Amino acid sequence: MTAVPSDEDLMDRYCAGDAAAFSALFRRYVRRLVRFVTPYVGPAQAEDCVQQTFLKVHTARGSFRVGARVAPWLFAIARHQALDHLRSAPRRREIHDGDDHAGRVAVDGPVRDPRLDAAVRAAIATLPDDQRDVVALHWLGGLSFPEVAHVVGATHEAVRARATRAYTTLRPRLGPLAIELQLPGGPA
Amino acid sequence: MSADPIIPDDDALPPGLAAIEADVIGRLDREQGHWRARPVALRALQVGLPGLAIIVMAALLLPAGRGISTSVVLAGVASLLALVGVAVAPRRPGLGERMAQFATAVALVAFAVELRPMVPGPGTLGVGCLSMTGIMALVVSALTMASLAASGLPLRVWHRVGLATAAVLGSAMAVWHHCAAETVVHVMVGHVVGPVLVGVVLVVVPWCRRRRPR
Repeated sequence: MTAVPSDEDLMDRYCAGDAAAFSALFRRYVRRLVRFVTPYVGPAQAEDCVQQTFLKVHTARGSFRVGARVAPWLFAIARHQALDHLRSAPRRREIHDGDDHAGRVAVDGPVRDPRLDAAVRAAIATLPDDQRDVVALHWLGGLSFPEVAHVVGATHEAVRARATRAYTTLRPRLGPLAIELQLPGGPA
Repeated sequence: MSADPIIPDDDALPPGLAAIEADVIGRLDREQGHWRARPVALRALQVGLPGLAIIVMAALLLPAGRGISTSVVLAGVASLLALVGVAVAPRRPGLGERMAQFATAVALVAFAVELRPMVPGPGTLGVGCLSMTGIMALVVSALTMASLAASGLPLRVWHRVGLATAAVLGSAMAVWHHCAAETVVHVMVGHVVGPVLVGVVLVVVPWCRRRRPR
């Protein structure tokens, strides 16, 4: 039985030039990254944004610190890329609110139905920026609270508090969908 | 799709995402593929040359009939560890970094031990020892840098530090053993502070060259 290599082991092999290790890492995270950036840039731009993210990852792979966790590093780059994307086209936020789902990539995740996906994106878009970051990273990206804290540069406690407020806000807005989509209840 | 057990065959990607994956793999092949394509013997020679250089210069400088001091032993250990770390970096960057970190810690102890027998009094400035250390360190550093550059490895800070540690401590080991001077100024300038500065330059200069806008 072959042991599953850790993200960090794959990153090490990727930096050493191992294409198979890059593929494994890419396939572990690409769908989660698409899910994560979609609320920021919209489904039509999500693929471009993730492409730019991986190109930046490739360029910056020499700066990855030994012993660091791969997931927060990847999501931090994706978050910067998504925010840059918004800054470079100020009107994109309004544009993606109205775009359709043509050309979007199919991704697995908590929201697979395009109709539900649009409802979730609309609900998340109404959150304040700091809460939206936390929800996108925790719920859509699948990161743990410590990992989210690392990405957004806040304390673990602050992140948990933001998540609690965000999920409390989202629950009535999503109504029955909150149960169907298994919206996290926030910290106990 | 792939024979690698870590990539399930049924994990098909949508075309857009597959194109992103192929794009990065293409870049990886262009940047680092030539290193992997080289014969193992050639790769081993490239990473072994710096070690050979250290052994040769140590053999040339070590006088016969003298006991080996603790600082020389520590410097040799630090140099060897760092050199092995740099040598494995093209295959295992993380392991190379950890070895470089450990080697640097041993190097700091070696410098501290070299300071211990200092005695006050008149003596030479230590320029000769510093020059010898610097020149030999540059030779080893150039050889090591060439092998790392050939690997296409994206160099990290600790790779550079390991490279400098191997070069400076390997050179210092030979010079320390060759020179019996123990006066404060000579040891400080020629054996400790000067070589440390040479190491700092070896780390910082390539980094600045890399960051200079073209």
